[in-house]
Amino acid sequence: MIALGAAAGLRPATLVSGAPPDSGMKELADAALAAAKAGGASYADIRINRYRNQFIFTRDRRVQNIVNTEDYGFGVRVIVDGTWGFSSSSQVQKDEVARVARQALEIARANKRVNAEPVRLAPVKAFQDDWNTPVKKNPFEMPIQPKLDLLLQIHEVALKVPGASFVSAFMQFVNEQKFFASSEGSLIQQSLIRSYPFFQITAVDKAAGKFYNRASLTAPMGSGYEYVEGYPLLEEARVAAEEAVAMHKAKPAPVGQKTLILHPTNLWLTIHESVGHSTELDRALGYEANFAGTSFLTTDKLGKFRFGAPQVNFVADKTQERAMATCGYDDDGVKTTKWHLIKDGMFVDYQTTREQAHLIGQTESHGCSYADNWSSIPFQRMPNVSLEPGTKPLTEQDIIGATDDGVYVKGDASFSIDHQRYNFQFSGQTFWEVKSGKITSQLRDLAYQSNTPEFWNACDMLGGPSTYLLGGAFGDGKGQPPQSNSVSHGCPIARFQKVNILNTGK
Amino acid sequence: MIWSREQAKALIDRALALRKADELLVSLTGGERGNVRFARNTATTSGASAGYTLTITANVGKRSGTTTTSTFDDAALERTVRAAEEIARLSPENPESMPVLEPQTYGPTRAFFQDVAGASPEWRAGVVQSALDLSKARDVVSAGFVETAANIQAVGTSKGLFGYDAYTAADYNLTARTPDNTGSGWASHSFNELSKIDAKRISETAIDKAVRSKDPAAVEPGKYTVVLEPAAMADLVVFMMFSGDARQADEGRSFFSKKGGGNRIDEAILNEKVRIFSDPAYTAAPGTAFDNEGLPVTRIEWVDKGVLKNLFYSRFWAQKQQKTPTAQPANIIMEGGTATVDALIKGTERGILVTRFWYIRPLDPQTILLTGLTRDGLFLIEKGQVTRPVKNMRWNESPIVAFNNIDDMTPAERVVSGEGIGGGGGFQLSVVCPAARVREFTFTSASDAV
Repeated sequence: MIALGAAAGLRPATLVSGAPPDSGMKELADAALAAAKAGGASYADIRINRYRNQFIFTRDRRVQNIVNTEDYGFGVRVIVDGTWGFSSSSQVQKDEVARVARQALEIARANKRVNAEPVRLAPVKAFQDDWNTPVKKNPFEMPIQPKLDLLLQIHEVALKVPGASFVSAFMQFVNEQKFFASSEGSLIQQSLIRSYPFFQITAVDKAAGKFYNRASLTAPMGSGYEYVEGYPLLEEARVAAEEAVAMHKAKPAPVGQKTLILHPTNLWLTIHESVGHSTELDRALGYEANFAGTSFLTTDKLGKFRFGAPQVNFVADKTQERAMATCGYDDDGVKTTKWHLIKDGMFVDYQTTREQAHLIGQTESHGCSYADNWSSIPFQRMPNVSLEPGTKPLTEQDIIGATDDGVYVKGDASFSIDHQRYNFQFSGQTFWEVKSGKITSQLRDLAYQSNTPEFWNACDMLGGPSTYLLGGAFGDGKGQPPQSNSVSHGCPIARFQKVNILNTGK
Repeated sequence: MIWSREQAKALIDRALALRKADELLVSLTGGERGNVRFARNTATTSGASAGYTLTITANVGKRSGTTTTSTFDDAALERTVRAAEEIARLSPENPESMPVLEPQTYGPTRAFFQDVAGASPEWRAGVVQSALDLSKARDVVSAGFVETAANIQAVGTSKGLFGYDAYTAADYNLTARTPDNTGSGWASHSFNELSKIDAKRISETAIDKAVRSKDPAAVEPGKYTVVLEPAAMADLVVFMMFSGDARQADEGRSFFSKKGGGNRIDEAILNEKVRIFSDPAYTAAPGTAFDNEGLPVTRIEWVDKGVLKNLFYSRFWAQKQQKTPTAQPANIIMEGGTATVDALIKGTERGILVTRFWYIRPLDPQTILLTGLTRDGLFLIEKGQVTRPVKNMRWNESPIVAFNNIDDMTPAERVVSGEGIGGGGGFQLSVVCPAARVREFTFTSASDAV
């Protein structure tokens, strides 16, 4: 079998571990930085990036399409008299690099008159380094047949379950090859790899005019194909099909305040929306007021606000193994790190970039700058934000066993939160009634609604490290023009008291 | 300068000439855009980009593969075509695969305007300057975005089809907040022609809403008569249309499925006042003439007098069901009435005036039940008058229910929805919508967000 990477005839990756910087890249970077300096820029950087994606779509035992994408270009960012300018192009050539640098200078000058806050960058060391996602099996360097076989097996297993009507399944693989050079002497090359298998099963009862979907509980990971191989996709496909069928006869969700137990496959998204976004400094300061919104965690609350119960600890971590936002350096050239956002329930820090640090009296960036493409402007994006497991080694059974009357939710589904991150409402893939310490029956049509600080203060049980899982998404949206960020959120199983439960089927 | 028809055709022809597979579909998209953001009453980031993507789909019998590239030298083109063909050969047969299209006839379009294509960074900065001057004069803090974009789409097939369209979009949107953070207002507009963007009016609308929405009081969630401004209506229309796939309906997994089998075309599903259609010739929402497969975009009635008239048919599903395939529409138009917003308010005994919605997500596809929140200007109406600002709320409602409860509408206008649909930011879908008064709209919980 021909390996897809070879078949695709893609250029050999210029960014390989331990390789010296590509001399062509360095030459292009020098041209951009020289043009920027000659034009009066006090700071400049260039990113020359190649993005590769592979998508394999299947539906009802058929391969619908296999798509390999490749996108290559560069962006030049300059500061002139304290004002940003940026321009970009897909023609990666020396003349074009210089032209684009001059255009970035022109844009900076045009905006000088409307800029009242000169940019101040926190200092950073000059790094000459390379970093690559550690992978055992590079999905871009392996044959396509095993991927097709596995996807089609999911269909067979699921459609064997009586009542399962339709299956769709896909795999997605992403490779960001990034080259960064700055006027401060950094020269950084990175290659990031992410992998994601997914399926959805639908059970239709045409006579009753009803249908239910059950999606896989998989998460995209900063990992190679070994994640796909290691995930029990076939076993879950069978269970998912059974659960989709069983949903037709499941009990309607109860309504009112209940004890709520959330599996990590559900809780990661609640963390993303209520903790990840509320601790973004650009939102708190109003930079995102026109689109993504602001944050209730205003700077006057820093160090003083009780965000959650004392056992609630959230870490931001761009170094976490297999997490989607993990990399060696951010798009400001800052080495990535790990820090607490919420410590013992108190709000203690934000996510920051070089230009933001001084706004809250800090002298270093936390390394949260990211642009989703060579044509996009880097700005503050979410690192992996994770809930630390409890200090006691509690298991799923321990938490359910300690619950008299509650509901248990697995998998993510509908999600919505207001523009200051107070009021949220989430649904899930499967819902379970818990009575007297036992799971008693499957429920359907359930959503939970709460308010961020009330919710995290109502957290009364955390699972131990054995219950900890990473969830995540490719499509964390923010900015204008909108950009996507890939991010993971780890968490244990957690329990919350008196959460408002809705029945969405009424 | 964006690529001309000749440049696009030359590149597509170079790719087609490399064909070894049975069929090739080649499309080229891209263009140039420039933008500036501002927040906290100052410019923040600004930039420009120019880029094109060539997408190649190779068919080998009933097998297909797709590749893309943004590099167009001979070697890159050869690699990209060969890769698509290689993937196609490796792929299992897909019985649903459709042959590439033969030459089609496309209607005229007028979606490209030189004033947008030629807009300078100075013009964009001028819009920001005007917004900042107005904001400072009214003592509000503003954040906003100005963008101009000129794009092309071109498509060619190994059966001789070729199509080329250019289109432009100018966008301006602004959120103004009172310095005490208790009031917030928003306005947004997008059009293909720069001269149709009245930046001053947009700024004034947002700023005025911010000032008027200061110090809101909470009202109990529950069912209210609402006056939905066009931006709020637009999201309901578009989210309903997103559920309109014919195959999903025929397979029993959509609101539009008929109990027992089939779909609900020709059934009355909405209030008889409701008419929704797409029309590439509609002057307030000019669009492109063909979709990414080269299928001509045509006028389609979706709902007329409340009766469902059509659903989206892919080429495969249309062939299977012996229907006409539906190209991706360039616009969604909901016809309005003759009332004014003031008249809608005057005719409301007790209700809520909604500027826009936010973070809308489906809750139950069986009923198209959605959830979302209000944002940037929510006001109480009492005895036909707007009496005070009220705090934002979450709502759980289906557009099907809301559109059955419409009792009056304004004339329709070009609109950008609260979710940004209808704007130039890559959606490529223009939306035309009225404001409407809707009975018994369901708010489910309170939000402290301003």
